[in-house]
Amino acid sequence: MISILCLLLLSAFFSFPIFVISQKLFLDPNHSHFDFKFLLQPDFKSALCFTFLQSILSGFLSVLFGFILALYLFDSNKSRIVNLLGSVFSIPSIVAGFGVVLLFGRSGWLGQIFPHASVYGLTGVLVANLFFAIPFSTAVFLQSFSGLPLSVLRVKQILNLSDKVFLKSVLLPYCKQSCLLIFFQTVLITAQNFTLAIILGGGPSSSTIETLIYQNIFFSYDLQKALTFALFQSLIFGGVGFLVFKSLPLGSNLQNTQPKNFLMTPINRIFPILILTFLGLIVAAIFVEGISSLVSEFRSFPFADFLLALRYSFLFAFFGSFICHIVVYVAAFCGVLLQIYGHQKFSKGFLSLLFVLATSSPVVSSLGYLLWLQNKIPIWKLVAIPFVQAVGLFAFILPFHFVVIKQTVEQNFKLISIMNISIFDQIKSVYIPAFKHSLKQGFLLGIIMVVGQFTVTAILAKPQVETVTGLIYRLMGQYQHTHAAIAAMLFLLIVCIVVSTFKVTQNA
Amino acid sequence: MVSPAANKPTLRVLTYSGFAGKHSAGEAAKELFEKTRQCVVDFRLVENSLAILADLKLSQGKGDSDLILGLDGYNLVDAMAYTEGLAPAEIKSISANLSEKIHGNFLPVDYSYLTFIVDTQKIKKIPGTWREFLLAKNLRKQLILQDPRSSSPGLGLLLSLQSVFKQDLPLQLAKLKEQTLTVGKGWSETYGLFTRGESGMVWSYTTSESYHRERENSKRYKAIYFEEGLLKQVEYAAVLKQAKNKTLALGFLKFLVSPPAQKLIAEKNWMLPVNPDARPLITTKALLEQMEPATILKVSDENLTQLGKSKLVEAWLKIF
Repeated sequence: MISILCLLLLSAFFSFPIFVISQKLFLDPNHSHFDFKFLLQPDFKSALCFTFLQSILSGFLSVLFGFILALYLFDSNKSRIVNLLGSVFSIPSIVAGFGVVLLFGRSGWLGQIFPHASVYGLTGVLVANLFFAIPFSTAVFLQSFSGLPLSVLRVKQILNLSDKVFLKSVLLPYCKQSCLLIFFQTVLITAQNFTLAIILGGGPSSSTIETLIYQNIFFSYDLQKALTFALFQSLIFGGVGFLVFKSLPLGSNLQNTQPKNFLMTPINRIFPILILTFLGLIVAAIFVEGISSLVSEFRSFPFADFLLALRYSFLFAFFGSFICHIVVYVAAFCGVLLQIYGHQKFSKGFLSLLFVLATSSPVVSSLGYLLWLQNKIPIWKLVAIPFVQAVGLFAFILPFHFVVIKQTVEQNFKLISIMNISIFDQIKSVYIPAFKHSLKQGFLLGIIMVVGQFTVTAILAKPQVETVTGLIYRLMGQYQHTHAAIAAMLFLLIVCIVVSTFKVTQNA
Repeated sequence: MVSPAANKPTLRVLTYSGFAGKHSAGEAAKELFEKTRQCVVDFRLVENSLAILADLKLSQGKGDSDLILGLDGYNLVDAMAYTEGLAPAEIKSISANLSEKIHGNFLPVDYSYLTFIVDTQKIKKIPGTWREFLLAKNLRKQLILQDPRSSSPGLGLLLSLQSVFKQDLPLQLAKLKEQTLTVGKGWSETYGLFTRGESGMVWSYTTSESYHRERENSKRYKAIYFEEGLLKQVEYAAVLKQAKNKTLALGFLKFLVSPPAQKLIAEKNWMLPVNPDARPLITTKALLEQMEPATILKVSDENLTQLGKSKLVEAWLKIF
């Protein structure tokens, strides 16, 4: 009963922004009502098509490239590279977008070689999407490979299978679920793409729904349109979120000993090295631009503003990850307990509902809170930021912890009920030791994933406080591109140090 | 301990970040005003000129700003409802010195002309008319523009084209698309791409040429003065109805058009002063040498209404 109540409360918390938006659209007499005609307008239709075109293509390509790279990294046991790949998650997309221009733009390192090729439009958005999506899919595939039983890997040597046969008959069937998961998660992440479409889209025909919503709130101020798009988007993304949930390996065991230095004959090593070069060049372009700008503008760079923004970025990310972990643990515990008591359908239903609500996009959540807190004390908007970030993180953090939570609760449930141990003792002696490691890693991963986020803070933090991404965005708006480049480089450097120090993704 | 600022009245100014960021015209003007009036000026920054209007609408006239600064002339009709009228005596006393008219409740602060800036290292042959410009083969995929939905210069381009081509606009927009490399969100981002060498031309202000000449001692970037004319963009300020300290806000309005403030705005914001008395104070030679276009394009009132602008943007969306 308590479990159902908890899950109901969480569902209410997750659906709150959508409720506020729906209330404004359908019930508030001060606002115009929902109008279907907005969804038939050419700018929306074109944004809808582009949103899915770029995200589906990104999904396919990231599965392909991520698989190849993960295979190479798994085989050659390059943990440092795996670690550094993790820092890519935290790069603000605005920085990545400019990294792509620095590299592939007409004046870019590679762009000068092909002066007639244009990076603006679908190509540019795809390239930038892959910069984020390949490390993500590589991390998920590596996690999936770590669950491969040693005996399966030995089959190749024992039966002397060729690479092709081994891939086709052993690895691919095993990774089928991971492929689906990565595909849908990448579609979800890239469909919510906002900044990249602005920088690299090249015009309204290459715009995303998220960009249209932002545009209609902050420039045209057509709230009716923005809310209609937001509601429609949350419905679509909720559908994709449901597909992600269906692909989650929530019941499988991924915690087998990770085999390292397992000598599968490497498939062609040139391709994975090319992928790593592509990722590395964008990061290098950001560093080179930042360092050269720092040399010339060291004295005028606003270090005080940067440090303050850095503090806010990490503060919001810390609390966002913290709240997300409370939510994930409560949801997972309740879900598993329901399963133990034989309510499998209830458990799956609630978890999938939470998952669907969580994937309704940050702009929709932020917009809901913005409307709710519109005429209240500004500090409440800042308080709302970690909550919105926590909801956005849920879809990534739940799969990270679910299996460990499930196994631990199932293993200890009977023992605890027989011994009649108090909740406090259960937490102290059973759950804390069991979750300590994954909790630390998940918590850091959560911070890394939201520290460079833009949309939520852009909507809710302005004008009171500024995060690093907001600072970079503002500096670019003030035509201080060299300062923006320095801020981006310093931020990337700090995140790389954090990731390397705590070995976030390697252990994850 | 109470800080000295705590006892001073505060004036909250809603403006765009380019106007009032670090080392900007706004910051310099703020320092000067604070000294003379013993008050605190607090800038509330939004992304650009269009976002000022959106912010007013979002807060439904219940925000805490006293004054708006930097709203362009294309959005005055929409912002009128949120502003406080100026007394006729005030209008008379202020407008006597200004080259630009006071529009309703809005006081002009600075102006420039919208045009394309050319990188002469990339584009050798510069067209003289809008028609030549749209047909020039050497300009294919050479233009960087701003989105009219999120940028006031971007909207200015549409209004310029409408003013020149009238009913022929859709056809000319199709030609413009052929010449366009990319469309960005705002002026600053797109101008950054241009100066990085991404394209040969960018939609900007005639005063951008003066900036490069003065600051970088470079004649590489040139403004095009089309024979058909250029559109003037004037930036305005106004006291808001919601203002808590209207006297101080009015004082700041008057200060903005005074010669010392006009000098700061011209030199740091790279726009031209609306008060001719400020010209002798301006030390940036390139700004003073700034050419005036032979013809100034006129925009009909109909095109400046919400509906008129929406129709133009719709036409643009269909092509782009």
